[in-house]
Amino acid sequence: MSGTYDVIVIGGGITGAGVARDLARRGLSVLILEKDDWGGGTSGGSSWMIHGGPRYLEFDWRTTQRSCEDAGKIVTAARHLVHRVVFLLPILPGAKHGLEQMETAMEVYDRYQPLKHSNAHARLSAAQARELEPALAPEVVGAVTMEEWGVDPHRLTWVNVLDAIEHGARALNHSRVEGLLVDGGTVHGVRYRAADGSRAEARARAVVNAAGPWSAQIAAMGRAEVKLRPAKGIHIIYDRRISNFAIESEAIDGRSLLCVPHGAFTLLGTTDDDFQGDPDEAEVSEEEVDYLLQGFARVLPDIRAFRPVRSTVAVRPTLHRWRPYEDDLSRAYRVIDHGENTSGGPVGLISIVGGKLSMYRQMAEETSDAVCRQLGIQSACTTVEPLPGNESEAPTPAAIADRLGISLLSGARALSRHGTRVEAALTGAGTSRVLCRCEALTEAELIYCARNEMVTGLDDAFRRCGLASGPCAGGGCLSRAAQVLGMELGWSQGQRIEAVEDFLRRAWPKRQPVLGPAGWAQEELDYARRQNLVRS
Amino acid sequence: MARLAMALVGHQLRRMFRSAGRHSGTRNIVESYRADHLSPLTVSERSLLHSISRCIGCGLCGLAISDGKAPELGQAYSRPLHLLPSVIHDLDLGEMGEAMDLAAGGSACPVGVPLIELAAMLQRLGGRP
Repeated sequence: MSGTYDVIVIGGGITGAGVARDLARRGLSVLILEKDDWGGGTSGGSSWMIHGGPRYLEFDWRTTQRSCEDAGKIVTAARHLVHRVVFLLPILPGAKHGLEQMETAMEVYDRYQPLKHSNAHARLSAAQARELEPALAPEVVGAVTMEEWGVDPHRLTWVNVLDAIEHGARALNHSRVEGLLVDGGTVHGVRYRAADGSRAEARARAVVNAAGPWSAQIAAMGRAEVKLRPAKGIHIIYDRRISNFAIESEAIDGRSLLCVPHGAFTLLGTTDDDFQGDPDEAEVSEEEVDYLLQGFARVLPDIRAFRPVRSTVAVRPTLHRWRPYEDDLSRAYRVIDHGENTSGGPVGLISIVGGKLSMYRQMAEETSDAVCRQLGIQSACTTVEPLPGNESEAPTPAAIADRLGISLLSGARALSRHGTRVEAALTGAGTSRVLCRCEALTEAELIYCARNEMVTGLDDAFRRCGLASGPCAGGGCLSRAAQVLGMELGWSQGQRIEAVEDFLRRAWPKRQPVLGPAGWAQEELDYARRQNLVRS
Repeated sequence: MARLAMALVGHQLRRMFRSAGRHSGTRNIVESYRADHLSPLTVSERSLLHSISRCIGCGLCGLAISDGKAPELGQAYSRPLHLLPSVIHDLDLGEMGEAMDLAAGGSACPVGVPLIELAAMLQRLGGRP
C-alpha cells in the first residue's frame, strides 16, 4: 500500500477534504488519510451552518464581508446540499442587545447578505414573532430575522473527498497516521496503519497537517509545534423539526445559543469550554445538557417537553491565546509552513489550524497556495466549480419516485444527499425496499454507499446516508442494515452481529445523557426487538 | 465597534421618519420563503408536536387500521415538515383520513399519538385541502 505522491493530507474533516480537492483539481497527486471516517470529528460535531459571521460586525466588517463571499462560493458549489435557515432573534427585556441594536446589526449585515445569496432581515413585533413561532416566551418584546445556510457537514466533506478522487487523488478512511518520515530536518512522508490493520509508508514532497484538534499531535511527530486552545462543544439533537424557523437564545453566561432545524431534526447548541484531554475521549455531561436547556427555555419555555434523541460532542481546534474567555476566542485560522518558522521546524510540513466550517473553502485555497509555493507549482484554485451531485439541475422527487417506484419521501431524502446522482444511488442494486422507515432510506442507497462512497461499517452509513439517525436510533433497521451491508462487504454472521453491537455501544454515550421518557420507552421497545420478543 | 455605533445613530434617525421598516412583518417572510416551504405552524399544530414525539414506531396503529402508512406518520412524515408539500401524495390522506380508521389507530396507540389531528396537520402543511 506504499506509494509516492506530491502531497499527503492528514485529516479527513472538511478542511483536509477541501485541501485534497483543491490540490487534486490543480493537477497534483494527492493521498488523503483519515483515522476514522470522513467528517466524523469536529466537522460532524459542528452546528451544520454555512454562515457569514455576523458576530464579526462588532469589530471587523471586512471579515464579515470575506466570510459572506466565501459562504456564497460554498453555497453555489454545493447547492444540492444546502438549505435556507431563517433565524428568529427574539428580544427579551433587559437583553444584552435591544431591538434597535439588533436591527442595526442586521441592517449592516444586509449589505453582505447578497454575497451569499441570502435575503435581508425583517423586524417583527412580539405578536408577529409569535405568528412565526407560537411557543415563544410571553416576555419576548420583538424580534429580527436573519438568514443563513444549513448544510450536512458529513455529506459536504464526502463530496469534497469524492471530487478529489475523481481528479486523481487516493483517499483512505480508517487509516491512522502513526508517524512522520523525517530525514535531515525534512518531512518526506508518513507511516500509517490502514483499515485492514496493515502498516504502510507513503512518501510525498509535502505533507499537510489538517488534523483539526489532533494537529498538535501530528506536528509533534515531525518535531514541530502547533499551539491550540481546544474547546469542547456539544449539541442536543431532537427527533423532529421543532419549528421551520431557527431560534436564538442567550445562555446564563451571555453566550449565544442556537436551535436550528436541519432536514428532519433540530439541533440545539452549543457549549464552548476549554478542553485539554484527548479529543477522542470527549464526552457529553448532563450538566452541559442542562446548561443548554436552561438557556433556551428563556425564549422557548416548552423546550424540555421535546424529545432529544442523541447529542454530539466535538473539539474545536481554536488558535491558542492566553486570557480571553473561550467564547471570545476568534475563529480565525492560520496556515503554518513549519519550514519557514523561525523556531526551526521541519521543511515539507504545512499545518492548517483554527477556522470553521463556513470558511473551509478559503482555508483550503490558502493552504493549497502554500503547498504550491513550496513545490514551485503555479496552478490556480478551481474549487468554486460545482461539487459532485451539483453538476446540473437535479430531478424532482416526483420524477424520481415515478421512475424508480419508490415513495416521494424516499426520493426527496435521497435527493438531498445525492443531487444529480440520485438515480445511480437508488437503482444500482436492483431493489427499492425501504430499510430505515424513520429516514425512508432504501437498501439500494446503502448498497450504493458501500460500493461507491467508502462505507465500510454502520457508523459510516450513519454519516453518509442517515442510517439509524431517526428517533428509534436504529432499533428498527440496524439488524437488517448489517445483513445488507454484510452481504456487500463479505461479513460473516458473527461480524454482522458484532457490527450492530459495536454501533449501539458507540452511540450510547451520546444518547444516554439526553433521553427523556419517550426515549426510554423507545429503548425498551428496541431492546425487545433485539431479543426477538416483538416483531420489527 | 465605532462603525456599529455610527450605524445605530443612522438607524435611530431613520426610525424617526419611518414607523415601520420596509422589511417589517410576517407577510414578507412567508412570501420570501414560500419556495423553501418554511411556513409557520399554528398554535394548535405547535402544541401537537409534543404528543407526536411520543411515537415509538411500534406499528400497533397500522395493525388496527390495516394501513401500511399509518405507523410512518409519527416517525417519518411528520418530522421533515418542509418536505411535506413535495411528499404529501405518498400518504393518500384522502382515503386514509377516514375518521373511524384513524380513531381506531389512535385507540391502539400505547403512547397516545393523536392520529386524526396529526393527519390534519400533515394535510394542511402539505397544501392539501
